[in-house]
Amino acid sequence: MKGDFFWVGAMATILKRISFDKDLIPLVHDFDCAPEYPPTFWEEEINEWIRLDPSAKDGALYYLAKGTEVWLYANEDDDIVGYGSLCNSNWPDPAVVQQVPKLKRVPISLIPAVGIDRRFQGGPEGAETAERYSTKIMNHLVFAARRHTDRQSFLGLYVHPANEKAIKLYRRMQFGPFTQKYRHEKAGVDYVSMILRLADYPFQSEA
Amino acid sequence: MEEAMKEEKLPLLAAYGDKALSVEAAEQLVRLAEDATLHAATGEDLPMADKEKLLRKVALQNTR
Repeated sequence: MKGDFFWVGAMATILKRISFDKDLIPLVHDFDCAPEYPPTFWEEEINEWIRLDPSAKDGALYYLAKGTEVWLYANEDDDIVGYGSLCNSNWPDPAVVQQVPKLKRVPISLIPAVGIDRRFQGGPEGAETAERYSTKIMNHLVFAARRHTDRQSFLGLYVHPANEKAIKLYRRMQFGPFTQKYRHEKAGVDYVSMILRLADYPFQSEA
Repeated sequence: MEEAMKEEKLPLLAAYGDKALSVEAAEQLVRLAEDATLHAATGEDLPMADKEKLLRKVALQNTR
């Protein structure tokens, strides 16, 4: 066989999901999405959000009880690569509907928090863009949002305007700029928003 | 009518969704919804992880 060449196709990334609950807190005890020290404001926020005690009236466990969906993502070695979440917007409010009557009176889906542990950012090593953990996680959130046929077919998110790395990822995932802003009092800045049109979900109900 | 009433009683979820939608954003949402040429994402589901296996691994790491 010496001298022969074998073409080996790029390996498909193995990433699995699990719905987050309080039993899984030990898995995110060391979650850290900050590649450098000190972490940025938004990195610290994402690190805290997933393990925050619900008595703080914020964080994954608090919002889980209010209907937000949260997933952890694990690779083939059962390491936690990252997490993602999905909720519905508080829109539209009646005053806006009065001014914009064509607006559908159902909410859209929002990603309140998503993060990848620093050890796995840009990974797996050598993976094509479509096979990166970041792409896989975002694609899962898109898929999960599509299943909410009670909402408008849009997925939105807010991002710190200086979080260029995340904005680049969202652009790559075809999110476009959205006029909505969110004043983050603690950060002291307006978070910008981005939006993605979702394809209609093909099934009426889950088997 | 029943549908409209249901829509009026939407759950008010906080997180970043707590902010009211601005009129400009509402108008943009209508435009986007009517734009048939806009890319529509399909996404992709992922297989389920084994909860017990994940917990066993972290427990093992913590005893080392």
